[in-house]
This record gives sequence, C-alpha cells and structure tokens, in this order.
Amino acid sequence: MKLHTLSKSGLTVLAAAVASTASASDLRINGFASFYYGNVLDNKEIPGELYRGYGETGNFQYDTQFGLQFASDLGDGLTATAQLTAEGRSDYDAELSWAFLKYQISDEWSVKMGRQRVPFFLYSDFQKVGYAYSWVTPPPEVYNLGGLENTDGVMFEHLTDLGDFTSRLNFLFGTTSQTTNFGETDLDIDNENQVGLFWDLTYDALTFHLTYTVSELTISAYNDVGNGIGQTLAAINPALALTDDELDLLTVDEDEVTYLGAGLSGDWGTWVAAAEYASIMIDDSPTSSDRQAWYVFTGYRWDAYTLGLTYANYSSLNNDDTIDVLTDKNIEATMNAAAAGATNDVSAAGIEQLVGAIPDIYRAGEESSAVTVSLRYDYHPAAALKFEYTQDDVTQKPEDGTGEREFSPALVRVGVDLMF
Amino acid sequence: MNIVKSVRVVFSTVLLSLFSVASIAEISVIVHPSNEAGISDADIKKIYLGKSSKFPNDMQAEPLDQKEGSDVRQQFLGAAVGKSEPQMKSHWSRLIFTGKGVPPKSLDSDAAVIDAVAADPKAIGFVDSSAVTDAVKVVMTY
Repeated sequence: MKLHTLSKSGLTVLAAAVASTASASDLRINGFASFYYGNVLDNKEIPGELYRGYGETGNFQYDTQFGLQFASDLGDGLTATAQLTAEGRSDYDAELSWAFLKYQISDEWSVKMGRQRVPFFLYSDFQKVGYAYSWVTPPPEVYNLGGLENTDGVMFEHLTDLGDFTSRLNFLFGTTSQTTNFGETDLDIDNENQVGLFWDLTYDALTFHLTYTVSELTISAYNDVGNGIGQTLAAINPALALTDDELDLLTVDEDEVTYLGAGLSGDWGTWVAAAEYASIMIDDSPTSSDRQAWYVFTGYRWDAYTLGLTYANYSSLNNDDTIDVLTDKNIEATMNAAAAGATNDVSAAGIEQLVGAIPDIYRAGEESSAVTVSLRYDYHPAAALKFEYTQDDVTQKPEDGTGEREFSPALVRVGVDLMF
Repeated sequence: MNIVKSVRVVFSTVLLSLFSVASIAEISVIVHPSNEAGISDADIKKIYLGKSSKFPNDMQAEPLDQKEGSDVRQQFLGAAVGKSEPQMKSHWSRLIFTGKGVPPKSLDSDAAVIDAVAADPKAIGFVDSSAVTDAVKVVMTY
C-alpha cells in the first residue's frame, strides 16, 4: 500500500474532495500525530526477536506516525473523506488508509463506499488516533489484526435512538488485500468476501459493542510452504502425496474465517473502564485455528492526568491436526526411505528438511498475559504526553511439546500524541 | 500573633473571593429569539457532544463554541457538558476521525457569539450572562 495506491483507489475521492473546495470551500483538514520512543529493558528481551517492534536498543520509529484527514461536504447528504497516514514502522511510506464517499440516505440510514476502517472493536474507528485514548496503542492482543483493520467495500449504517439508548448497526460487505510485515517477512494476505455485522449500544456513560464477521482468507506464505512440502513428498514417493484434506491443513487458501468480538466500556469522568473479548477461528488452517484475546482496563483521572491499568491475555494455538499430518508424513517418509535403503541420499535430505524441523510457521502458536501501566498527561489542549510500561509473560509454541520457550519481556514507551 | 492571624484570614478571604469572582461568573445558553424548542440540560449536552444535531422540536441545530482555554468555555464544558477541555478534545477526536461529526464552530468572543446567534434561527451558543442582550433568548443558565 505505498504511494502508488493513491493513483488507483484514492484519486477519485481526492479529486472530488478537492474539486468541491473550489465550489463549496468547506474542505476540512484534521490531523493527528504520534511521536514515541520505546525500548525493551535489559535482560527482558526475547532473544533474536523484536517485542512489539522494539529491541533492547531504543527505537524512535515504530509507533511514530502522522495522519491527515480531508473531508468535504459535497451537499445533498454526500461527503467525501480521505485519510493519508505515514507510519514509522513502514518507513513513513504514505498510505491512503481511508478513501470513502458517505451518503446520508435518511435520518437513520447512511452508506459508506470505498476504503474504510472495519469497526471490529470499541476503539477500532480511531485506533490510530492516540490522542483519543489513554494508552500508547490499544492492547495489540486484541487490536493487532495484521493489516486487516481496513477494508475496501460498502457499509450500511443504521443509527437510531431507542429511548435513552442509542443504537448503531453496521452491515459490511468488503474485500481487502494487504502486504503485512510480520517480523522479518512480508506476508501477502487476502481477505475476501467479508460480510460483517457490528452493533454499538450506548446508554449514558456506557457503550456495548458486538462484532460478527465471516470472510475467506488467503495467506501466500503458507501456501508456498504447504505446496512445497506436497511436491517434496510426491517426489519422494507418489504414495506419500498429500490428499486435498491434508493440503488444506497446511495452507491458508480461501479458508473461512469467523471473527467474534464483544466489548463494554464506560466513562464516568473520574473513572474510565473497558473490557473486550475477541476470537478468530479459521477453518482447517495451519495456525491461529483458534485465536482468542481479551483485556480489562481501568483508568483514574485527576487534574490533567489519567493513570491506567490494563491486563491483557492472548492465546493462538497451533493446529494439532496440522502437526499430526506433518509428523505422520515424516514417519512414513522415513520408513519409505529406510525400506528403499536410502541413508544419505536426496530423499533422506528431503525428509530432514521436511520433518527434522516442522516449519516454524506451523508452530507459531503463542500464549501471553501482559500487565500495562499507562500514564497520560494532558499538558496542552492539543497534546498529550504518555508513559507506558508493559510486563508480558510469553510462551511460544505452547502446543508443540518440543521447543516450548518462555520469556518475560518488559517494554517502556514514552512520547506525545497530537491532534490538530 | 492575633494581628498576624487576622491579616492572614483577611488576606486569604480576599484571595478566595477574587478566585470566586473569576470562576463563578454565570453562563447563559442562548438561541435565536424565534426558537420555540423547549431545550433541556440533556438537549444542550447532546448537541455539544455531537450526539444530536437537532433541537427537541426536530429543527436543525448549529452549535457555536468559544475559544479554547477561555474561562467561559471551561466553565460551560464543566457545568453543562460535564467534561474538561482535554476530555472534550479527546471526545471530538473520536468523532472527527471516524467521519461521524464536525465539532461546533469556534468564535472569539461573547459579542461574536451573540451576533451569530441573533443572525441565525438554528444557532445555539453560550456566553457570560453579563454580555447577554435583547437580540438573543436565554434558555438555560449555569
């Protein structure tokens, strides 16, 4: 999603927005920015890995970002909105995060067409706008969706007052493809035919949120590895070739994904609190076949300060069936090679490669529980200073049996959020 | 000792009253004289939080804000909306960046708000009560 994307999907909306300035001269420009420094504490790192983008050497880039939003009222209920963001974690490549037209059909119904944020969770709509909440970033256990936060599609909204309650229902049909940076590697992710239902119910200081979406997910990296293994096995002996069902367990190719989410938040002025639960289930998938995350947060405000405490839990298990297929194939291949008298030939090497180590992407399961203390100081009407300390307990590959590893990384982040 | 004590008392009383004078000026919420909507505390709060864009009689409402950091604004937000300036900013940042709302237009002075309200049947604003003129109608005081 580099700048060239601008020309593809955003130009029309931008052009529409700019054109309207000439006539209506009501182009609104709003901006937000975050500048953060963070580092993982000495002896509290995960060896050879970054933790939430940070290592023991301090980093000014990962959570630093800049966003500009252009909105123009085109009259007769039509609004054009474009949001450009540049994030330090993507080398400040400008990205057209949003580009949509909104049409107010009636008092209660509206429709948005184009690239927009998926309202998965309570803070999703404004999750990049640090000024809008007291964390540095909302708990990544729940909020990190690996680039699927936005979608290209159409969303209908129904907004109505039910007595003292305000109800907002959103229906989404969308499709998105993203290149997401996971650690060292870029993953191509396609999330197609996404159908979603989102509901917010607000009563006084309380907001309740519910999410249900289904979509078809394709992750190229799994398909490359899975198909590679299939070819290796077939080359060793056609009898070892993977069945369609087995291949399905090694690949993420139009796999059905179900997202479920529920959240409750309250803001009583002095006290603020939120709790959310999210679950992602992928059918016959090698990883994250059952991913669950939740957090509880409470904050206390006095003067210009907000002190917050968050506990977050995450669990993404390996798929036992995937591990079983690989293990069985490994044994079969080894026996096959032994029967053929192979000891040190090509097939044995192939087996070694295959099963000696089950590829890491099939053992990416992880469990973690983190405590975060955050302090926000509103030292200026348009700027907030934040300090955050996170202590995590991470268990990697928990279902594997072999090579289970435990770490307790601790991260400190300090910086400023602005809006203008 | 007694003199020192009473000087202290007098001094702190003076300070206290100065402080009160500065911070307890009365605020009036004003609309166009033709506005017949029965406007309640809750309506004012909803309109200024962007939760409603209409008066209770279904007429479009155009809320007007005052300069950030001004006494009149801080007092109005505290009393009528129940939020501090940073909380209000944070609240609006959520609406702005989701395309759900546009914050009330900000004007520079009580006089500017009175002029704007007097000229627009849809307008609603707040001013220091001492600045109110016949050109506008007071619907609430805080």
